[in-house]
Amino acid sequence: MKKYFIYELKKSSFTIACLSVILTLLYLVILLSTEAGRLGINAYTTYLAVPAYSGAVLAFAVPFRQLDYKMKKRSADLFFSLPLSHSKIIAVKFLTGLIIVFAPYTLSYWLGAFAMMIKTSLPINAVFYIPHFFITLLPLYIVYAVSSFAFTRAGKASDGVLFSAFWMIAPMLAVAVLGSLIKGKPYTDIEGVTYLYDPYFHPEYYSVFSPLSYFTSLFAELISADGYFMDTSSITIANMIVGFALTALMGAGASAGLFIAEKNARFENIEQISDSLFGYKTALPYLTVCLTALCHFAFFLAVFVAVGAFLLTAVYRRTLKIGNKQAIIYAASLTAGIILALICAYVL
Amino acid sequence: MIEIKNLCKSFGDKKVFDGANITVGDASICGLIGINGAGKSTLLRIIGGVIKPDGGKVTVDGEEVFENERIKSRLFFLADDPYYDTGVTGLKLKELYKTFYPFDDSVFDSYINTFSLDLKKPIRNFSKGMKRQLFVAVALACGPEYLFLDESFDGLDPLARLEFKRGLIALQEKGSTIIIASHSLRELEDICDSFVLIDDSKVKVSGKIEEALDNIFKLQMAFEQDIKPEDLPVRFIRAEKVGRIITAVAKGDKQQVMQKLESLNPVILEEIPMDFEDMFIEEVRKEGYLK
Repeated sequence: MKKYFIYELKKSSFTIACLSVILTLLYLVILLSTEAGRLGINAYTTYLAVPAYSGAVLAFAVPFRQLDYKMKKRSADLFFSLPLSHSKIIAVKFLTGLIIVFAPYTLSYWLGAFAMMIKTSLPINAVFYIPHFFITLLPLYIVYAVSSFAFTRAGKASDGVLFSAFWMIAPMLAVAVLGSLIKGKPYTDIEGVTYLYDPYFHPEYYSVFSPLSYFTSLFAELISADGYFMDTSSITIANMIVGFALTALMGAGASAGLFIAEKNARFENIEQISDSLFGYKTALPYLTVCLTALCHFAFFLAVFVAVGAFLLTAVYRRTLKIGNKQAIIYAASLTAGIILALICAYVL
Repeated sequence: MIEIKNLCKSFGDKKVFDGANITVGDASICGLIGINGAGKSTLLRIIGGVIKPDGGKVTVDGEEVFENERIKSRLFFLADDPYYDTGVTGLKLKELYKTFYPFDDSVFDSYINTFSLDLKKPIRNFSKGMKRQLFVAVALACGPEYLFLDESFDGLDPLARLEFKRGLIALQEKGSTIIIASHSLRELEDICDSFVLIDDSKVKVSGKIEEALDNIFKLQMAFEQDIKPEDLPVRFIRAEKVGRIITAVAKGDKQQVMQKLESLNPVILEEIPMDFEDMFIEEVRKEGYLK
């Protein structure tokens, strides 16, 4: 296993180097081409967000490169016949992928931070870069683990990408619907900002990417040395804690699930219809119900949801003839979504 | 020794194997034959530990293969369309296999020189035959105790086929067991000592190629009278009559059959040489695949 890990690492070294250069250049170009003074207090968040969001994109996408050997019969023929258990192969691929995410992130983060310290005229509490860097590794790992697990539930890479995208926003959608049900009408806070949802169920805090975003905003305050400007009301803090707990739970579940499921991985499912419970089977009704329910403020949008859901069902079954069972699920999900939307609009 | 007992495997509703039994002895070269879709590649994947059987036992030297790292380090499965990463060169491919197998550089280099392959070029730029040559070199350089080849002659030129066959025989002489699934029956006949014919989710015929060929023979005959094949005192597997000439395939005791036919005073009675391919055709014809 060690020899294979070294081989994978050597094989990925060029990719790691390229990504490190791209991410660093991206950070430096943004840093050097913007005037911190004009960005004002947003400068800290903006500059801190560049490596964090680039890292998030990597964490989301790298599993597609690392784990697509499970999506093609040709590559599975090779990897499944090697004298290593399926679990060890996926462990090596997973770990190498994590290095592909973390190494460019680390390099771009610190080079960017040093450039920021040298270039900017803004006051900086540089010491907070250290905890921010280490803390953001956790949400990056969560994104990577959830994306890895969701991607590998598919029989085909394109399905896997859709599953990963779905799980990134799945908790956010449920929270948005719950928020709409509890506070049926859009909510306006004391500063005049209008939210479409109940403030205690603010979906912004419940995507798998969210912790990265609000950790970055929080630390931008600390690094700014100017006191805080971010909304850290009890409502926001509550949303952050619950949101982070939820995504952390998802990350832990995804990490464990990836290896548990690998023990039952079957060659015969490769390139077949993606029938996992973590794929279309759950995603289709879930998305249909949630998105239709969220059309309570503009019902005509439900038409787009209906068309989208049908197209996604066709992608799932790989035919436009979706069959009776799928048609029933489709109709039932739309009906449930419309009922929820009506409740949000007229009952609550 | 490879032992397959009561193997069952289905893909959805399709039963690929339903109680197949196969034994392949040590240091032998076994040809795996069957019509398209019979399950040859699936069987190799099962023995190679790629696919888990639904039922039955697949053992190599008494140990089950699936997820068994120790056994799998002694075997090598070369798929019909072997995988390589985009941009991978022959050198990088060698590195991958070196990570897992006791790779013999001298064997690899000698085949690379024979086939005149450029290891620094990306494999994707190789022709189909060159790719096959490269993977053949890798497989032989890994020197596995058990080598499973799926359509590995496909795409090779006659010279490369000859080199490959020599390499396989050399490997067998060192004690390795080789199973080759192929439609190139003439190639199999050259190097295989045994064969397994798969059909209808079972093993239809298996055994030594020589014995099987001794047991089946083709005759050409003509008689003074106009005799129909079904009127002859011998039961043929297949018989055709063109003009007065009857061509027939029979199984069993050749001498006995000849004696019976000679008693009818034929004008012509001679045996036509029959090879492995003819035998295969007769076997699949029996199953109704050929009319």
